[in-house]
Amino acid sequence: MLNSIRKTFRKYNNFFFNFGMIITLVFFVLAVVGCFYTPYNTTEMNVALKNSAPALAHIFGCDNYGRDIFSRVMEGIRNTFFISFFTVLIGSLMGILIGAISGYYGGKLDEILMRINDVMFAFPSVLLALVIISLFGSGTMVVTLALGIAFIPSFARIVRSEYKKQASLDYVQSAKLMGAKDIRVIFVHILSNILPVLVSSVMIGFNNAVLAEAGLSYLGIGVQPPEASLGRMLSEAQSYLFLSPWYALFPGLAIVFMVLGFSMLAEGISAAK
Amino acid sequence: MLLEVKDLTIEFHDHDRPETVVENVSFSLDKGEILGLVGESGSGKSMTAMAIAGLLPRKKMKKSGEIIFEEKNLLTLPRHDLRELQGDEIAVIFQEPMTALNPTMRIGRQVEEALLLHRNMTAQDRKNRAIKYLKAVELDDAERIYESYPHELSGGQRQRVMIASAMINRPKILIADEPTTALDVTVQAQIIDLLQRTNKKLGVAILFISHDLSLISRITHNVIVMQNGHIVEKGNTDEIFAAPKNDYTKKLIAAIPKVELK
Amino acid sequence: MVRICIAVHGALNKLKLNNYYFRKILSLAATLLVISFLVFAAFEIIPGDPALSRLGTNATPERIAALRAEMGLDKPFLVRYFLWMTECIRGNFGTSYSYNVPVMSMIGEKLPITITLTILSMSITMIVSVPLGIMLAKYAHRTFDKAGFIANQTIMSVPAFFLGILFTYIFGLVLHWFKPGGYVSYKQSIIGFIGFLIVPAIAIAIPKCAMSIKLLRAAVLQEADKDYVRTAYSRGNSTMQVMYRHVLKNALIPLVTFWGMAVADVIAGSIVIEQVFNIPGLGRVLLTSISNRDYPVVEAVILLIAVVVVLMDLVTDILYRRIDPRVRGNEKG
Repeated sequence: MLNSIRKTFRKYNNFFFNFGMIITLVFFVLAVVGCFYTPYNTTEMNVALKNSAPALAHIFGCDNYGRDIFSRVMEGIRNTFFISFFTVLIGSLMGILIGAISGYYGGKLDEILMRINDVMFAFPSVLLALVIISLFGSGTMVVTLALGIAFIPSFARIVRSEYKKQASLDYVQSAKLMGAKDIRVIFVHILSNILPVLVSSVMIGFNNAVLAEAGLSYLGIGVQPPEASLGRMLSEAQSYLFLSPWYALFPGLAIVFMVLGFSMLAEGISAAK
Repeated sequence: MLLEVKDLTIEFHDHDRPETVVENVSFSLDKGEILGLVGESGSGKSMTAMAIAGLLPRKKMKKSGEIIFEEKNLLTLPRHDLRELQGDEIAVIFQEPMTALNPTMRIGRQVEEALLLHRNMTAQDRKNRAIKYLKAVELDDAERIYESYPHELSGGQRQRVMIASAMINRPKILIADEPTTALDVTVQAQIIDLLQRTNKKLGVAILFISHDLSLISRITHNVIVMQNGHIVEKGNTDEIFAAPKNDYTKKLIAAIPKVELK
Repeated sequence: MVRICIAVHGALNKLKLNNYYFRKILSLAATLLVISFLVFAAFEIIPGDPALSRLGTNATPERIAALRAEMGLDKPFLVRYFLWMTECIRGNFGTSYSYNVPVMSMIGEKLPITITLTILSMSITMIVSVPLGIMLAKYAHRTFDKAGFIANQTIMSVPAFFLGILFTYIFGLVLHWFKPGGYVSYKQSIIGFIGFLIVPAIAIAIPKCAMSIKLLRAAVLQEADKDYVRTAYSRGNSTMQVMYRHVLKNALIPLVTFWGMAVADVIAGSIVIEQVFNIPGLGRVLLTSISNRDYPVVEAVILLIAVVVVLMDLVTDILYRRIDPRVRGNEKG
């Protein structure tokens, strides 16, 4: 187990991958620690510290209620991580299922599924999520589900084209001749062969999920106050932009670097292939 | 003497150790001459030709010696001055007519591009001249071909187009880098025939690069045999084929399949 | 644009291409029909009676029944879909639940704002990314290549709305180049209107530019190795002439697809950006309608964007065939 991990890391030991890995790990640690500990209580208000500038005690400064921005950024990163994770999970699992069946069997079903899929794919995921939210209301659960559904088409598209390529290859044909059931061929033989492509698209999925979640929470959809979310912090910060620009800067930078980390990971993984 | 190559040496520097691909190559090309440059792949014949055409990358490569054309050393000529000669005095046709033409540009624009770059002509004059040259390379229906895209033509037609586009400025030197290798045998004969007639009619000197000795023996006046970046033998084509002095040349000539079609 | 029109016209005159575009348009129409059905069905299955929610506290069983009949809610599902669809094609998207005005008049007024914003952003993206992408390709594998790549990748990671906030602070509050929140309606002054929209347009365009540059750089590098580039050099072209006359057109082929899809993305991005710059555009309408559960409006906006998506697919196809003659030859009939 350990050996195989080491091997994987050696394979991906390139500049982009390491760069992305470091950034992503930093955010991951911040998110995990943020579950148990933040320097200050994220909802505790302190009128004396209203809009105070970054200082030793509050390294990112305080917001308009005098709450510690660093602690709230930590909580926001945690929430973004959580939502992105389940978004990508739903999107990739459903996408693999649809893409695999569509690509492996082909035919009429494939044509119909892909026609719908292509339009959904061209539809921006934020909009698609907004449609679902307009049906079921906002809130963390609905937003996660909505984004997850909105991400299915892009995964289905990639997986389908990979399955189409693989289905005609020799090893699939011989597995079939050996009497392997379709389910086994689809989910064991082929899936293990397209894993590198899949991992790379999962990273791009994370990249897009963070961006989409930030956009939605900026619009006030998703994580509800008083809990912190990076997007909502940005929208609140806008009213105090002149007084305390750092309030907008730090949550914004957190989003930028989180996205950069994932995109570099994706870049590194596809460079290693 | 039209072109003189003196002690040409080309080294690659893109690996850890520099690699010499052409070493101390000297020869000359006269007006109206067809000079064959023959050798196996990796012998440095194409490198030599590309150096004369000025198409070798400037970086990762060290070139020494001289290539004298009209009292100018092509190796040290500033890029801007070199461009004045390219496509005007020195033209090139390549091995792969399939890929040597731009797939998204009409044939006409590619044929007349050298005119656009080197002559001050109106669009209509350029078109007339291009169609004249397309006819000169025996393409029927030159007007239609002028409007076509490369993928609509056959391999032989494309190579004819390449010749037309190379000859449109009446260059003094035509470098033909394995111009027939990618073509069918019958088409090959037609293209060779066309090159020979172009040489006679327009007096252009041709540097003909090939690994095909029987072809070289038929078309060239003089020949240079290269091996591993060196010249092993040079001289009059008929003399060399009648009495090769070098062992390598002897081996090459002995390997020509003896099929007499007479 | 004129060239595209001529191209379409010329293409339609030829029978074989006529067939192709005929089939293409037919399939796009079918796609739109499927979307419209999905949209209609989605808003049908949600719980809640629109008549009830429209009447609110004034609801009595008789009034609900009367309103249901008036809104056509008593008819079967497929009949209602058919009626709705035919009305939509005629440009009538129904009446807003919350404002009791025709949806079309609510949207029509906002449409120019979103369209202008989209056109501005897309133009900036295309104009800026082409020379920069070629430049980055030209200097590929040099010392600053990696730094350029990371810079580009970082810009790609900045959400447009964060850029908007940064611009508001830097150019609005600190440098006073524009007045934050000082939106000028196109009815008042076209110049003021475009002048205000230019900043949000740049904010939307920058991440899209970075993506285009990345794609173009890769495409140019791939093309630069091809034989026709050497041929072009052999005719005496300079590097810039080779790039712009020969390589660019070939390298644009993958980019056209990206730009086609970016249009819908830019519209989605403008919904968020409108909030940043306080622009009363389509995004504002969509967001209020979502929170008010004003379904006819939401349906209309989605349908409109679906039409844009489908139209862009067609435009991409036409451009694609303009650029790459090989595609034209291969799809006869």
